[in-house]
Amino acid sequence: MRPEVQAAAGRLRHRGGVERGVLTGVAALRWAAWAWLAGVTIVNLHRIDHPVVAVAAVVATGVVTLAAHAALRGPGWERALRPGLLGLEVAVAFAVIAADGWVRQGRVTGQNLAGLWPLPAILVAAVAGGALWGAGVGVLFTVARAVSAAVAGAPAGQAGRAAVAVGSTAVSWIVVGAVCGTIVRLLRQSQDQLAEAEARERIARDLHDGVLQTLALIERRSPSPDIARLAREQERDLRSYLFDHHRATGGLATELRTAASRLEASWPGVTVTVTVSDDVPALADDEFAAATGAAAEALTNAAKHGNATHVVVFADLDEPSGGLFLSVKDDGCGFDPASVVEGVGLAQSIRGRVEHVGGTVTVASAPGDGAEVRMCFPGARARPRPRSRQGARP
Amino acid sequence: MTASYTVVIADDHPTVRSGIRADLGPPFVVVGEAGDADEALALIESLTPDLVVCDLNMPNGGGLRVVRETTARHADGVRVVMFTVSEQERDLIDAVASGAYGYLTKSTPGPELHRQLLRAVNGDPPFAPELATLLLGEFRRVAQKSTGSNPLSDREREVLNLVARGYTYRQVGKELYIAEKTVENHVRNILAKLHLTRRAELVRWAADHGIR
Repeated sequence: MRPEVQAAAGRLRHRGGVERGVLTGVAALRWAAWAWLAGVTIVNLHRIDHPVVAVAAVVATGVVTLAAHAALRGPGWERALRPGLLGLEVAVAFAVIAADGWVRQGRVTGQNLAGLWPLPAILVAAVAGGALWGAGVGVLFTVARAVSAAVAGAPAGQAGRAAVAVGSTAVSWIVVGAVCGTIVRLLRQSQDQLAEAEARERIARDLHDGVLQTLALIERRSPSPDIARLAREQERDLRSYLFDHHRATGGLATELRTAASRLEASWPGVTVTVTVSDDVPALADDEFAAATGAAAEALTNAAKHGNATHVVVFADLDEPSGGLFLSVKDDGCGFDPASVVEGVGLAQSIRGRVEHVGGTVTVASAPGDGAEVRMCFPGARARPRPRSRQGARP
Repeated sequence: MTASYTVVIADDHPTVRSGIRADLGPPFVVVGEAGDADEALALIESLTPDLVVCDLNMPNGGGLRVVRETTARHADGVRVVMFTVSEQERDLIDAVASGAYGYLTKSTPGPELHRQLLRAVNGDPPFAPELATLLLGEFRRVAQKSTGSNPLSDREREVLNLVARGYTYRQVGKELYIAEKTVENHVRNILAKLHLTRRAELVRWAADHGIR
């Protein structure tokens, strides 16, 4: 990764969003597990061998639960992952699990004194250190279970059953630790990738802004018309790439810009401005082809017959009809529409194409005052057609 | 002595600044150049130029901040014209809504730039078809979102539509059978309405978010 991307990605990454989310869930689980542990212990207190030790276990786990909860609050929540707090939680859980064999609560209630309370410690270890830590703490607690079972001693003939109970708890703890660590790692990776992609895009935009500036400068200042035109073409391409691919109108805007560049390439001294509003409607495939083809033809006419120096191509929603309004206006010599017979270009290429797909064409012009070709297309929604074309590029 | 107009150029690219300087010439006098928003605002405060040609993307708050603070202090006394490559960005509408006097794209040829800026100092906002197109969409969205009716009158919408299609003010007047001066007034009203709707939107947004 390039250093500037890395730096920007670091700033963008919602630092530890995944970790904090998991830890918040774990904190809730810890409270629930503690409430269960405390409830079971207090209800059965009179049947337990060492009630004072059991109460001490309830208090100790309660204090750790509170500490872990407090650590997660506020901006410095990363302290919830500090080895000290995690170590304390693991140690208390280990002691409570192991103590069960002596307190003999398990014998009375069928549940280890610690209950589910050790589980959050496994999850936190997995978040802090990955799958290996998670599984490792699971192993540690298994050892505690084994100690507890050994101290309690199984009733005659039930040693096998006790071993199976320890074994199945052990397996589930180790698996939970490993799986949680793996999931967090995967989430963290995808989060990093997103942040990196976003950072790259931002940097690309900044760089492109500089390139656009330089190209615009060359356009304005270059003494050679060829070089100026080349810069304009490149600027247009880059602009299409940067701005159009997010927009629904991308296909039409890109195609009209391509037509504009083609005209500028073959008619030095002519510049074309293309503006396409965000509200242009979806077009059927044949309408799209007719609109872009007719616009290209109108551009050629403006340069060839109109002697234009500047042409504006404009596309927008036609508000009354909901279709597309498309105009090509030049600043050329113009003509008197009443006296000039429409040329072959206008009659066939423009009127033919547009009317074939259900559109209309009008031409407005006056001698010395340029000309405008106005076209209206019904749009894809006006016709019962399954396929429409909007953002797709040809 | 013929009138001359003082200009401050604000752009973070020195080559762009020297390009603009070369295009300006009389009656413009470039009195200062700034490379970021801070420098530009300091120059504007000390020199009170007639015109500021200002890039949109600059360090320390960009052209948007220059426009906001300049119009807040000088109103129409200092006219800020945005000079930008990013004609499709919402920033541009924000700049115009905050009081930018007009806007020109960086690919505008030198003589055209000179002509448009001359119009600006004479009270005629440079208003390219691209901006008109953006505004058509913007007012449509305002209409859909809040009041249900377009803040623009039918006539103003016609004017905006014709400007977007590349009509000069003279041609707009001819098309609508009104005087060129009337067209200019319509354009000024459209900009004022943009300003108002933006402010109303801000107020509504602030109220929705509990800011008073």
